[in-house]
Amino acid sequence: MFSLKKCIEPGCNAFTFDGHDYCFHHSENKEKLYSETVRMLTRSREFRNISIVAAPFRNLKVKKNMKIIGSNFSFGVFENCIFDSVSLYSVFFDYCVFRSCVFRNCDIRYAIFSGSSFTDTVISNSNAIYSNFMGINAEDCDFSSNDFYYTNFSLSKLVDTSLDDCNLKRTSFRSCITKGVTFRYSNPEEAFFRKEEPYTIM
Amino acid sequence: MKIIPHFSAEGLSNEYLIVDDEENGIIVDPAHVDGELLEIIEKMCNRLVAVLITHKHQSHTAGLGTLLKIYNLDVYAFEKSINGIKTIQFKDGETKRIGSLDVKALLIPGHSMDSLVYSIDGAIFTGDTLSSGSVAMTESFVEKELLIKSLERKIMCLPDNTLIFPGHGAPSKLRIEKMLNQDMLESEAATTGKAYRLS
Repeated sequence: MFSLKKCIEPGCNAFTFDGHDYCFHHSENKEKLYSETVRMLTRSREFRNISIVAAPFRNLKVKKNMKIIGSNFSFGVFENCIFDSVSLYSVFFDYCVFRSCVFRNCDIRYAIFSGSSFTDTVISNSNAIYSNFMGINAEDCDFSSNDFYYTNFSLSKLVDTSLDDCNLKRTSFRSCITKGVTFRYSNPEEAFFRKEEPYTIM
Repeated sequence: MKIIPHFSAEGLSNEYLIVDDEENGIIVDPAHVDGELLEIIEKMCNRLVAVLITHKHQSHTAGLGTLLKIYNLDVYAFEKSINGIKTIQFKDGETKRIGSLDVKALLIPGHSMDSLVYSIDGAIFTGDTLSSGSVAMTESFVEKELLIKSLERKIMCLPDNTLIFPGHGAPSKLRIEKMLNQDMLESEAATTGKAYRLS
């Protein structure tokens, strides 16, 4: 897990960048840390225990078969980023913005996407199990052909998004707002919905 | 500190291995001991030193006996004994040094009267009391109220960036739960009369 030490900048509650006293934003060599992060994501085999909060990533193609473990990307912005055949274990993407991103053939476990916004983003042919998508906003997204076992979408807003051919066993959609959402070939009957908010398209 | 989650198919619960900087290991809620968990323990830590029990329900303690057959461990809990095994008791608000970590226990009754939340270095292990998006099942409304009040008083006042590792389901952060935990929001709405739902 990334360092749980707090940045020493007065009033800052962010976690420090691994091995540093300051968080990414208050670090003196911010640009160097950023380029090092991008280099690791695109070239290394493993990205582990790094906290880089509110960083923008554009046109990033994460290295295939990369393992991202115990890291924190909260409040980040991801545009045109590709995660192909990437493993994401205990990774925090809470309150991030994903625009035109692709997660394909990924193994996502214990990952946190809560409060994030997804636009024109694809998550497909992936395991996304025991993960937290609470309170997300997803518009024009394709979340098809995934295993969402035990994943939580409660209080989310899903618009024009497909969840076709997904395993939804124990997936929670409590108090979701759905519009133009499709569940073709999926098993929503095994997911949790509020009685007054059925899974049919509204 | 490293935190490694492990999913137990028995009781669909999460077990956690916490490894401090000196590579001492602590297991939280040994629901089931399988080969995969033992492999993680052997790979990640030099010495397993303790077990923390959040509450005595079997879905969180069934593997304790097996673990103690393999490792010589101190067992920490609120109760005097768990599955007939003598424990080192934690009192509400008490902090103990385990390995090189300060472990603070907070009593959060409601789901069970012995439910502890362990706070370690900016992370909390909530057992059944608080999961992502919900609070624990209780036997009555009185206990539900007790649980929510305890969570509000002792947990919701912690820093927003506190990481939450629940006994069931996905991890979370306190900021997320303050904004999106439906049970807590419903309770608040019932008290204040304000609606919370997305429109």
